Amino acid sequence: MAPIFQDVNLYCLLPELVLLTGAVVLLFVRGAGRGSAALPVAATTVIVALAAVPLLWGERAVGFGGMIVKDNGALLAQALLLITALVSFAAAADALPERKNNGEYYSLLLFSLVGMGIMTAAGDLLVIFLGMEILALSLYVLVGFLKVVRAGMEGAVKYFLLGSVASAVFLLGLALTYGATGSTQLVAFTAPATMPALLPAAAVLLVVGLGFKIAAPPFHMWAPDVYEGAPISVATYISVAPKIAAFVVLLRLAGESAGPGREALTGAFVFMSVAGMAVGNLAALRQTSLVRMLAYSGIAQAAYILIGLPALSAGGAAAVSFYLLVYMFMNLGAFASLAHLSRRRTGTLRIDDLAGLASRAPGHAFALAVFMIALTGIPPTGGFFAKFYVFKAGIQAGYLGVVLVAVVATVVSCFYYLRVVMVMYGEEGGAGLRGLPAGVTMLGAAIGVMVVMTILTGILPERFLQAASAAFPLLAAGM
Amino acid sequence: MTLYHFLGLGLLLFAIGAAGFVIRNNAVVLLLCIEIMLNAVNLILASFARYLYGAEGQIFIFIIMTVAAAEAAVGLGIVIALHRGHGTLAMNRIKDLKG
Amino acid sequence: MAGLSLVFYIGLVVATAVGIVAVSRFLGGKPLTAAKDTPYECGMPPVEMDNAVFPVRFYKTALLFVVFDVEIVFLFLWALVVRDLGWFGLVEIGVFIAILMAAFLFAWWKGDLRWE
Repeated sequence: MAPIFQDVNLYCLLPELVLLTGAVVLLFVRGAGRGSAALPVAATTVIVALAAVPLLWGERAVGFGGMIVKDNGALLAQALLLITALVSFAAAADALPERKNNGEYYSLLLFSLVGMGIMTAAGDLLVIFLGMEILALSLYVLVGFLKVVRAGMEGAVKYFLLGSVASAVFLLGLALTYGATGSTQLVAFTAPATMPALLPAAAVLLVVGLGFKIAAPPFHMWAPDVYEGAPISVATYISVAPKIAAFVVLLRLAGESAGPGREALTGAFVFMSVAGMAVGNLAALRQTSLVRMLAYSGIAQAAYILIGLPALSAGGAAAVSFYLLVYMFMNLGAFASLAHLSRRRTGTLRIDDLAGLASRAPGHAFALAVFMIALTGIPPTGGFFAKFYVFKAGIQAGYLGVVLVAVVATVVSCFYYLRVVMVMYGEEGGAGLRGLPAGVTMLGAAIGVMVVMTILTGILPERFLQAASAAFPLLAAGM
Repeated sequence: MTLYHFLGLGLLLFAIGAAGFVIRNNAVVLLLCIEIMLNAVNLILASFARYLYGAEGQIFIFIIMTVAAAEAAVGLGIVIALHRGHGTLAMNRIKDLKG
Repeated sequence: MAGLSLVFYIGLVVATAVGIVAVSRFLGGKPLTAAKDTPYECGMPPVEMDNAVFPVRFYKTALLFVVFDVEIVFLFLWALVVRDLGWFGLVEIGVFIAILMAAFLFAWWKGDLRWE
């Protein structure tokens, strides 16, 4: 059968094509600082790509002979990823040095967006791998972008080495899947296998390899070092975007699996979830650096989201995508608030440095407090309902033990999240950090929107949950 | 020679790469271990393609090889920058970040 | 049963891999003579230490070469089926080369191809 043009259907990759064009143009943009065209070009590209999302909505565009399936789930993820990129742009304007060639920075960021777009829309394991590598190779360089910082290079090397091993593990899973079924298409998971004995091993390897992107054990050790070593705008981005993309892929894998592979998959999810909650929360307790605390908190948050994956039959897909939405708002907000505080600092930003911030910059301190409360999961914020829906799905699907661990972990997490709030409001002195300047700035506006959305998802959770389950109709209904 | 001979060799290579990654200390040697793991996967794919399914698996190998080359290029670049900054490639001596 | 034997097989593989490394670690012990520590145990003594500095421009060229060299592999695959694919294949490979050219132009524009 000879391939024809209709099979290719470039239309289904419209947002990726926009991003790719922008990224290539940005490679050739010279100059830095305020006068540079890099930031406007990058922001325009992302906004145009964002505008292409509603165009494709509801069409379920299929391209490349079924290797790309741009359904609503992929588009929802893409919208979230593009918004994440915009917020990290706002943080980058402050964090990047003036004299460096910033066109490459934004170009790499757009390339990583292309990779994630491909990952989330892939209908084939090999395409998922390609998307993952496009994402990973861009991020390896971005982590070490400020080469002069020794810690940055150290973070980049650790990220690169662990990431490469994770992709090798994923590839072994791919090879075993191919051996078992004779195909790497996701839909082939449910087909009768030639060598079914290989499927459990393949499923575990695929999930563990993807677990690197969400910082789930056993590939979680990179997170604190990378967040601390990378420029804060990159840390903002890495703490949210790859997790969204990887969770969408995991949702697809969990939705397509059947038979022996499915049991192994469930086992892997449960293990990664429990281990992540234990490691993340216990390590976060004894951190003095704010960024490292947030890194371990990110490991724990990903572990909570993982509970929803084996519970697809009980509405886990909607719960997971709702959690991802809220996680995006609160974690982006928290990191964006740090971006301004930690600029032009040589050392790390310690939690104690925040003392007295509430009296010097009440607005800024309030925003940070809202994000911390949301990350803990206390009611008036979306963080509460995100946890509530995931835990509910977990209990309904029969994972009471895991949910109990998660509840205990949540109680433990109060200590380190609320300590930040207490230091800001209860103590005086500190390092004399100044909050955001008065007036409208890009970063200030971004933080403001995140605060509003974090609270709004807590007030109208049903609305957002319905929107989320509409994006994954097959997963929500089919199980 | 059967499929299982090649499969065993591939898995053995992968395990050696993984064990080396855990035990060794030099950043460049770690890069080599990763390459061993990737090529082990290639061997497994090739043997499945040869004994069971036909040409498709061999196309995968080309794609994986390309990605591995790109990864090696980025990795070597990072390692060179690391050596410039720290003056060493021993991973146990590179630990400014802690906590 | 095929499944069980496969599990044994994988177990055996892991044991062998770990075993080889472990045995050499425990039985190997310290090098017997100082000569065992040199890069080559026989032949000429090395002229320079292995941590000698040499210009990074070799690396730069080599890295660029490796990447573009491997990308060219896809041209061979295309050449095998060029008659079956016809115009479609020609357009596709044209797109592929155009994307490669963008990367090449970037390397050129950055001055990485200059041998200073």
